[in-house]
Amino acid sequence: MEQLQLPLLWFMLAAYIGSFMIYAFSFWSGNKKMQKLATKIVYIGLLLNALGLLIRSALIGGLPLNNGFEFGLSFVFAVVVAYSIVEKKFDLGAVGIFVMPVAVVISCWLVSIDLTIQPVMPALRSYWLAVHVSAAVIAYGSFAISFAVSIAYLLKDKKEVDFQSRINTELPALKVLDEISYKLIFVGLPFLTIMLVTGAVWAEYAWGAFWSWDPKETWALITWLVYAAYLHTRFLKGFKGKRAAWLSVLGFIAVIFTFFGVSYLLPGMHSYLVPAA
Amino acid sequence: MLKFLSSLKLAVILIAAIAVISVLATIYPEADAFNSWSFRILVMAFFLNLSLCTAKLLPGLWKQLHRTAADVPEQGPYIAYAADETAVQAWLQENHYKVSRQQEQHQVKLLAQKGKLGLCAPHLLHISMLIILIGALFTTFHTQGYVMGQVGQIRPFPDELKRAYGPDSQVEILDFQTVYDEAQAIDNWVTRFNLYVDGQLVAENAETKVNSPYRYGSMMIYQNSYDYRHLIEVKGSANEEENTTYGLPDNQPSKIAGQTVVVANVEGKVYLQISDHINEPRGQFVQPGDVLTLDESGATVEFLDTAAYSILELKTRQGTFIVFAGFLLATIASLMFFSGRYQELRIILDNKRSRIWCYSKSPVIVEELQTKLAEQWPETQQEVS
Repeated sequence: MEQLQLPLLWFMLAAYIGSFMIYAFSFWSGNKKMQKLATKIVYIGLLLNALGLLIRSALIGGLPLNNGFEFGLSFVFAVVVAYSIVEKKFDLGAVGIFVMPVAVVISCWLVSIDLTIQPVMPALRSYWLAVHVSAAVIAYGSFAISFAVSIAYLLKDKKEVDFQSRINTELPALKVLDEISYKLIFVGLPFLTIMLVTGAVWAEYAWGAFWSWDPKETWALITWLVYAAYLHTRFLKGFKGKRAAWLSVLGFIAVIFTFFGVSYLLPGMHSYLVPAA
Repeated sequence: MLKFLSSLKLAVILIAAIAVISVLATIYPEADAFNSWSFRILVMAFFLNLSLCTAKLLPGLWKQLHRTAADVPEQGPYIAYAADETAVQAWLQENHYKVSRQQEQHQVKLLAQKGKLGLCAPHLLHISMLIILIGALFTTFHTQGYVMGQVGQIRPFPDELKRAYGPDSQVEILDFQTVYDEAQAIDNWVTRFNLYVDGQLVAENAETKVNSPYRYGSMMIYQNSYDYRHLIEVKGSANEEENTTYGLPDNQPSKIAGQTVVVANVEGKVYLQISDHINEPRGQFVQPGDVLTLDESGATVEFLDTAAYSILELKTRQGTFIVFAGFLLATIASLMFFSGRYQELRIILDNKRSRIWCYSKSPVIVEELQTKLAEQWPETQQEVS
């Protein structure tokens, strides 16, 4: 079953790349049927993604949340699930062109790293892991979609004067994009809070300190601060729309740095997350 | 001044400043920014701002939560349209509003609210953060130290904890095991011990392992790490004090009876090397019971065994319970965010003319009510506001 993982990942990646290309085609041609086809391919990718998670779970005998690869596989799954929900609820197929690159990039990284199952270190053998990492997956998934929607917002905002632009005709109104981005952050931030809290409680039991200013936890806090600033600035005049979209983009850069940047560049107590290439 | 200190603007500035310093601190860890006074002042300013902001907002929140139909003002930016109370009440019930009603002479006032938990969530989160920061302040007064010992050894408490628990406080290491799972991977490290506080046995055969520390009152005992020590015994030295058993760390030179002794694990075998810095170092692979000459005076060194060494961390928990209470509150507040956004409708029904005046901070809700009333109860007709 272990050998099945890599082919499955490649098929998943192919589905995500395929859906992105069809979304792009439908975006520029305005063909709604193609957009629906792209969404169906997203579902196929999601199914393969879910199968990959199930196989990994069966192989390790638990939730696939123990290392960078497993987190990445869950992360991309959360991104695509969140997108599927948003797409269905707000009829937002046109945003697929901005969301799928996120899924493609993470999937490319997944196929390039070592998938070998390594023993889980004793500190990670805890029930806290499931809550802590699941909360992170949901939060990061929401933020990824908010980021894509914000990118769409910023592009549409630039093109708004040009009524012939595809961006202007295909994407929903700026107000709608702004509201969706806000709602996703509103969902993600409480989960990020739960992630920080459960991580801190777990660290107290495992390492004897609920907070150690370890680079990973510091960057998780930075991410939390950026999104907290996002929500607070919405209450201040003029921080809706463009400025809010930029903050959402900044927040997701912090998410990506917390996951990739810190793991590779800033060694700390969470260094076990770094998978071999 | 007080207005600025409690302002949202200052909160955003402080959040941004903490974020920027945190970024720099992770890039330049040698600067130790988190222990600098400037960072502490920033956190204190944030605490002050959050306290004042919370104190300023809580009375308003209290009023909002306890508002009734009697508080619905006569004047306001109401939208007026035709409807009857039954239709309005049915819509409110359908949309899970809690309604407070007050009958007056020619009119009925309704105050419809939902999502009160969602309204409280950010305030509760702010309070939880204050509690966490207060708790974190207390935790800076904690005491902490390490006890290292082999099986069978009785080791004293670290000096920092002796002050709190008495000079005769000790840990007797009874056992140390590496536990393996079914796949032969390391599952945990477990130390069993007796705990003596000021000479009294307070915990017998207690256990601590990774993720499951032992608690004695406000003190926690963690399985911090482990190591191996090579045990050697020196005999025949002119200095009697040197004739004892030593636990040497792997592959690290130790000065014993004027000689430098190194014991190293080389591919599963133990190599013992002695050097006097004048002659060539002497050494050989050894097994338990092997004896080597230490120096020219006839002193000898016997290799006894390689033994596991458990390293326990002892820590008092001042403030941790407060921090954990804050964590619990933060989790509850986070979950409360999902109970839905707070919605409030102020409605005045003019019975005489079957007309209502309706107001909500969210105009969408008023529109929704109007549309539904027009759809479901055709007798309800919109009027020019």
